[in-house]
Amino acid sequence: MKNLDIIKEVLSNQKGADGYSVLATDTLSYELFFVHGKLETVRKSEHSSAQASVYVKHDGKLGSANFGIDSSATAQDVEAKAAQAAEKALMIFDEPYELVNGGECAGEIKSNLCGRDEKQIAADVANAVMSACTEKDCGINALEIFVVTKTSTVINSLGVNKRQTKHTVSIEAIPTCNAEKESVELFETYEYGNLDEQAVMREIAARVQDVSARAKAKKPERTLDCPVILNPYDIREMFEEIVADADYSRVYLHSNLMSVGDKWQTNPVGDKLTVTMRGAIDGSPASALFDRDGTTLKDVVIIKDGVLTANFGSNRFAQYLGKDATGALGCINVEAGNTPCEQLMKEPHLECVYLSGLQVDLYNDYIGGEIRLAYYFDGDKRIPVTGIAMSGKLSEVLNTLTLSKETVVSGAYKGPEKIKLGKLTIF
Amino acid sequence: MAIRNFLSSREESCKRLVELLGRRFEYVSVLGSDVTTKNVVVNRRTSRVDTDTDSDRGFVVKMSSGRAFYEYSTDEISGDVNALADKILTEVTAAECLDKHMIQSRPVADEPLVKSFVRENDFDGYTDAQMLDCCNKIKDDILAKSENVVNAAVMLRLLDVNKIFVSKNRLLEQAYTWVNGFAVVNYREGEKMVSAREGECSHLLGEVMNALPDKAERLVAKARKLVAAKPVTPGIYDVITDPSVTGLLAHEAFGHGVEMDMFVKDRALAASYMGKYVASPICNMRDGAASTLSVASHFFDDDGVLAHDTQIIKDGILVSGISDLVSASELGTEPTGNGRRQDHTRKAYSRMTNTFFESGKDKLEDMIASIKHGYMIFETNNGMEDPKNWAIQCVAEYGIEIVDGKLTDNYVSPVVMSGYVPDVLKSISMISDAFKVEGAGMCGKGHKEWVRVSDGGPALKLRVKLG
Repeated sequence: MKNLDIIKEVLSNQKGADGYSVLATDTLSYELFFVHGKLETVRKSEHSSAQASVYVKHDGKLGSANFGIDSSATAQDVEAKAAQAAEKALMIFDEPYELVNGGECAGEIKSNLCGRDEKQIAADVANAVMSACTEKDCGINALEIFVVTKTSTVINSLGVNKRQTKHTVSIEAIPTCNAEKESVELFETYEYGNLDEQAVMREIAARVQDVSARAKAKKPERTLDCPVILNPYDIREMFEEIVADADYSRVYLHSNLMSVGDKWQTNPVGDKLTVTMRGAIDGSPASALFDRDGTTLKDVVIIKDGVLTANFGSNRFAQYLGKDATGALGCINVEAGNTPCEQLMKEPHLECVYLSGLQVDLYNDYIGGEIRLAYYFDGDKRIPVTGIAMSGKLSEVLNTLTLSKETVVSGAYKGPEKIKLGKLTIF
Repeated sequence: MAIRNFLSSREESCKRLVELLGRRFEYVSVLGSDVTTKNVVVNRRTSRVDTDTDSDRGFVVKMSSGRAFYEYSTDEISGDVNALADKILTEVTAAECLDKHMIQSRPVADEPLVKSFVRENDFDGYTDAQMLDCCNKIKDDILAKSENVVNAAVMLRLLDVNKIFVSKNRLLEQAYTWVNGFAVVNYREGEKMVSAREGECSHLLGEVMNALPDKAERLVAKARKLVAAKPVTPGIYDVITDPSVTGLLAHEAFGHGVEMDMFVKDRALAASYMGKYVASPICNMRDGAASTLSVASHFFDDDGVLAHDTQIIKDGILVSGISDLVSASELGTEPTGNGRRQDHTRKAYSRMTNTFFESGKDKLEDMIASIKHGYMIFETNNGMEDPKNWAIQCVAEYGIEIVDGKLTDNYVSPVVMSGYVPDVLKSISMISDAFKVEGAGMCGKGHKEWVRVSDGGPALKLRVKLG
């Protein structure tokens, strides 16, 4: 069902329903898959779908039911699903809330990909990645490129009608080094809202150097006892866990660990954290103008100097808590520190390049993970190491942060390019 | 039960498209998907019923002529099929500069077969009201068990799969279902909050709705223990894995490692270990949609290859990998029914289905009794593979300390198990005689391409790093 007007008409006329909302998405994706530099698969995907919700006021409560509408659905199909949804909503007894009230907009998330030919973008990215690999005995064993245009439209029964189009490029690249004794690889994924082929080349070239180092990496002969430096990907993972705790829905369901006024950093001996949830960050693929309810996104500082200062989240849970709806903000902005990367890396440290996956468990106050490649700097030499792991108490680690002055955009994250953490056991 | 109208009414269009595109390509196939879903979710303060909000309805056209493979994904295939064929030929091309950089592929086998597969289910026997009632009763039961329960969530997730596969020589259709039920609790004592879960799964909704209520008592009891859990002191320990963690180990250690698209890319060390010892001689491991009945028990895969039961490790020796159509074509091997897509908009890769270690002869109590100091670890949280370099990380929800051959009351959480795959698998010294496969998993290829998988097996005794 690609015609949103028909969906709107059907839902407007649904007997027994007091309201509706619809999120419709149209996705065009052009994809190339390479193996050892050769093109293995060419894909094109065109997909449309919609998710609708029907709301019914009853017994002093609000019931709702959600259903999907695929693009082959007829008006009769939508009518049948809407009627079923109105019946199901009578079985749901949630606290009442109002839908987002009115508002129209139509726009594109700022991107230099707008208007460019998808096939040429994919070919240019392929050339950038392949030509970045100049290190001896190294290659890109596998490469996947996704050029995606996604248009999202939200309408509801209170007059919301908003549309946004987003362009992104995603890359999955596997730099590999075929050393004399062993062949090693790194697994790299990138997603860009803006494409800078030169930056892609620099990034891949750096990772190729890393994979070359992994071939030489050994397990340290002695136990290391030094601060740990995380890269942007793992910094992002850490903050994604932390900010999720501040979502209104968690507060409403009593699943949050921290309440406003609580200290993420109880006794900071390093930099204090200031974190802002944002709707859009230039170049971030997570940028958006509005969320799935149609709420226009409003930036909010959630952590100031290490203290939780605000929560954030969608229209429904904001009303339940009597707070302002910021919308489901997807971008995380961590304020930079004052320490240049060069200075931050002057003292002995372990710089993690590639983890199996950073494990952050707020409930158990845990941070850790297996390290597949890191550089140990002993104050003199930078030595590639592998076969080790790290773990610590998140609450203690957060007190020890040193944030770099230089910033980076990585997926949904913008903030310090490097963060130094203490109080981690390396084993 | 038969294939729903959406696919059956488009069968002729699929055949026509295969014929039209077959004039240009040596091999053409169309996979049609009509996967419907229902999620019933209740929390302490909210509830919802979602119908088809994560459904998958559409088609993938796959083409090859001895060079690269081409795919076109679309939501609809009816209407003017001639125009659609023309559109596909225009849209699915690469920039000219890439033309000379294509693979050479072998002809795809397209053995004649016309068959319909149906696994009966009981979904029509239950209403949404009954499902909501079941979830609400369990939620209320959990909440009533302790004032420390701050939230309880109970959910039923129903999956109803219809697929057809059409090529020049094959016409296949399949229909099957799967249900996952979960109960999750957030439990707080003082400053400490923990989360615990219990689950049940089956192809029959009635079985899940009958079994899930009995989990409430165990769930809250577990939360009480976990709230007192401490971090494990990092080190190397004798460890016993429960079937869930055993399955995670199978999945991460030698499941991803034998996905044969990784062989094509030289991304799997396993390719050079075929016929060699990679695990303790008491280890046997399998994968396959036909290996057991669980969430990934399709009758044919997304390449139209019939379900297999593949032995991966036999008596500690690596004997086989698992493959999709493209990787088998490039390697010159037979595909094993492991070509799977996240949905019709995504590419098929070599993917696991139901992956597990076979059971052994040891009694669990003897395994525990054999450990002076160590841990028994429970419940998969997540894991990460490294097929090229055989590092492994498996995260379990919790562990219980074993001292002098007895389980104690000392819980540890979380538990991160890591090591070098052959070291870990060769350290397996005892295998229990029990067997359980859990069909609640989601598996990504790298960080995307999520498919439903099951894994499991018996309890294993091994020596490994915990941290």
